[in-house]
Amino acid sequence: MKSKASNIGFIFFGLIGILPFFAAFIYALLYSFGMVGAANSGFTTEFWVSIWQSGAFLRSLVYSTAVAGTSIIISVSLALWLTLKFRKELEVPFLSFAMYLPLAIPGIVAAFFTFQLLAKAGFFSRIAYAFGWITEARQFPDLVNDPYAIGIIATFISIVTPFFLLLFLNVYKNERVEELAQLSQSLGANKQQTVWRVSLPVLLNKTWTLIGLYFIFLLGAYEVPLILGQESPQMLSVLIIREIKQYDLSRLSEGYVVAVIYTVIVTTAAVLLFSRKNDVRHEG
Amino acid sequence: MKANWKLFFLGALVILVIFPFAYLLLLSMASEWRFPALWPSYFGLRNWEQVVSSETGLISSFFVSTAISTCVATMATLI
Amino acid sequence: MLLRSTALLITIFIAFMNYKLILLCLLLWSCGDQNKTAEKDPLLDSWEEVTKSSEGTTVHFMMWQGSPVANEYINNYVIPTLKKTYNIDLKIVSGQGPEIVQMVMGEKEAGVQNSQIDIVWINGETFFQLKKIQGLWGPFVQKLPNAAYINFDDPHISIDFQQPIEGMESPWGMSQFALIYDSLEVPDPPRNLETLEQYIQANPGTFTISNDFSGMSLLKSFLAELSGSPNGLDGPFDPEKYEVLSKKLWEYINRNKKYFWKEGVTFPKEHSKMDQMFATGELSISFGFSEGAIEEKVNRGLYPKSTRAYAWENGTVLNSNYIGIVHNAPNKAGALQVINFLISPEAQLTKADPNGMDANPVLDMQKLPEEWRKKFEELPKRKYGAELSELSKNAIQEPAPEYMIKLYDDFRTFVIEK
Repeated sequence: MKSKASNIGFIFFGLIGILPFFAAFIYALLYSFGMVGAANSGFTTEFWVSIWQSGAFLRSLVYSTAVAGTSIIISVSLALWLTLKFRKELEVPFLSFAMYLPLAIPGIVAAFFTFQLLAKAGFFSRIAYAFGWITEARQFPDLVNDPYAIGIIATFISIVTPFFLLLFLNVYKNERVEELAQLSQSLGANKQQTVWRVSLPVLLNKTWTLIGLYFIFLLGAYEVPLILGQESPQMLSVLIIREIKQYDLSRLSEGYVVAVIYTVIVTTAAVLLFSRKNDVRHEG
Repeated sequence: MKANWKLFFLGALVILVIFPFAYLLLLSMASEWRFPALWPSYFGLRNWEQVVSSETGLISSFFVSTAISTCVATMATLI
Repeated sequence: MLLRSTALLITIFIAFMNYKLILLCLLLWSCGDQNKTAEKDPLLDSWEEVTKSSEGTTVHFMMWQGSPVANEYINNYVIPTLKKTYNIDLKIVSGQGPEIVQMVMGEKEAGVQNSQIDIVWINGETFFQLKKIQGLWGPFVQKLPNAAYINFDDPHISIDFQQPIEGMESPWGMSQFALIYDSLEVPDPPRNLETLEQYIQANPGTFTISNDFSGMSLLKSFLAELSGSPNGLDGPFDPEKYEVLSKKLWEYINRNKKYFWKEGVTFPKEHSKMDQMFATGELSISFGFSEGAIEEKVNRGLYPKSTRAYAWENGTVLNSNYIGIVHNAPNKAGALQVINFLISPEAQLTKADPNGMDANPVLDMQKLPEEWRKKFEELPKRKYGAELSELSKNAIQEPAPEYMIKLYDDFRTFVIEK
């Protein structure tokens, strides 16, 4: 019964998720070699060469990886800490509802909100002024559109942490981590050992595929870095859309080159994650 | 003592969650709010009136969004 | 179960991030079942026939929806009036500049016969691109009865980014690029490159250039000043002249960018962000088309009442914006009727109201009937913004589109990424 349902699911997933995706990929591939596109005149590798030589893609990839990685590491650590410290308190209906709320904020609104708070004439800057710490807006530190992506990372953390918190709380309950922890303590482990050797490994083992996927998701995030990022380097999606929407029609294909490379990297990563996960399930 | 610390922390967390909603609501009703004023010079429903009177696509786009998210959520749960 | 479905959801999300590509792809597939009824050419019809065949039809208008007053004008005046007078349903689709070009290109690549769009709001940059891919239908402008009120001898109307419009797009509005400042904070704003340099050195962090259409329009003014005259950039694109002038320009900006907003390490992506930062006081000088578009922003309470607009000493760009009909528009008769209405004295008068859209009419007062000329003269004056007649003493023509394309690229290469 269950396997039948999941077969139908996979057919659906194939039809809706994979087929258009695959067709779009082929289209982008053709576009990147100049084989389709009203302003293109036939097969050429010049767009690939020019993207490679400009180095913009590599910088963008490194930058995106660093931003997404930092955000995920901080969010997961924070969510784990909250789970282990506050799981009982968070079972209170009001509190668990409050933890769900941030999930309702779309990325673009969250980015706008961060901007309103952290910009040089934003909420915190005004408070700093009221306390006399600064006398002019420009003395307030760079927290949005800044070189270290502080604004982007802060926004990602505020969006991602509630998600992981809910996930960990669920896993904690379903995997009976509570009982396991009690067992290990009754066998003589101290609190520290229980956390590091039992609770954390169980939680992470059950969720790391999802953590990996979320990392990929952040790697391709668009609105948040669009609003809070710098003009250079830019995160991957921002770079792709900029290239595809540029005024110079003869160079649109460069955007498709970046899109193709990005898609290959992300798809490979996703496939690896899923196949590894299946192995684990068979062992278990 | 320990319980107090936790209570305090959770309280701060709840405020942290509710603050954005309250602040966005405030922003939607504020205008004429220049640095370094802590409170806007105008506070009222002017922005809301303007959006309701001139942005005709708002309601239909809301329904489209709701329909799409319901579809995605249903499918994801079924699968 | 929870884990798996969530993982799947995220994967779907990732797939959706390429939604632009997917859309293009769906367009490719849908080309097969377009109905290919040969529409007869409405240009051969009399105007009565155009009116008759457009009755009861729907016209799709792709326009930039970033201005609340423009949206209000369209939604609360144009749409109901068209419905009442001509029984035409006008449907607005959001999109501007490159998006329009993408749409037309995508449909062309897919061989779509009947576009989802009939008319588009464009300027010279987009006009240039659409002409390049033969995306426009026409010439149609002389067909419009109300075109009689437009003075096509005015180069700011008949020449769009140094390209003759040749009836392929109808003028809709006219506007000049202006710089804006708060007259209480900045008593004497800079009007040329030399005073700008002194100004930003004395007030670091309060000036910047947005990396978009508006910012590039400011750079054109700078380039024209470096050329030594308001007419320095007129005529077709001159690569050698550009090389010499742009080199000076990047040298000037790089020399001074440490006094820019955020020490010139980054630049705002869009002009709307500059508006926001001007509104909060983070920037003390901003700029924009429609003579700076300050009237509505002061009225809405976004800008202080002491905001004023001015033109660069050597001139800022004065240009018209236009409406075109896409080559595969399914309802060309309706498109003609709508455009004719948009350039009618009635519609242009409502559009010019300083408390409304506050857009300069494209109609020639000398050609208008007496009663309409009076009505235009009786319109209230702007309370905060400068009148176009005043600013246009310091105006330059839009340089050829290639200048803009080069400026975009080089601003990124020689300033942003440096």
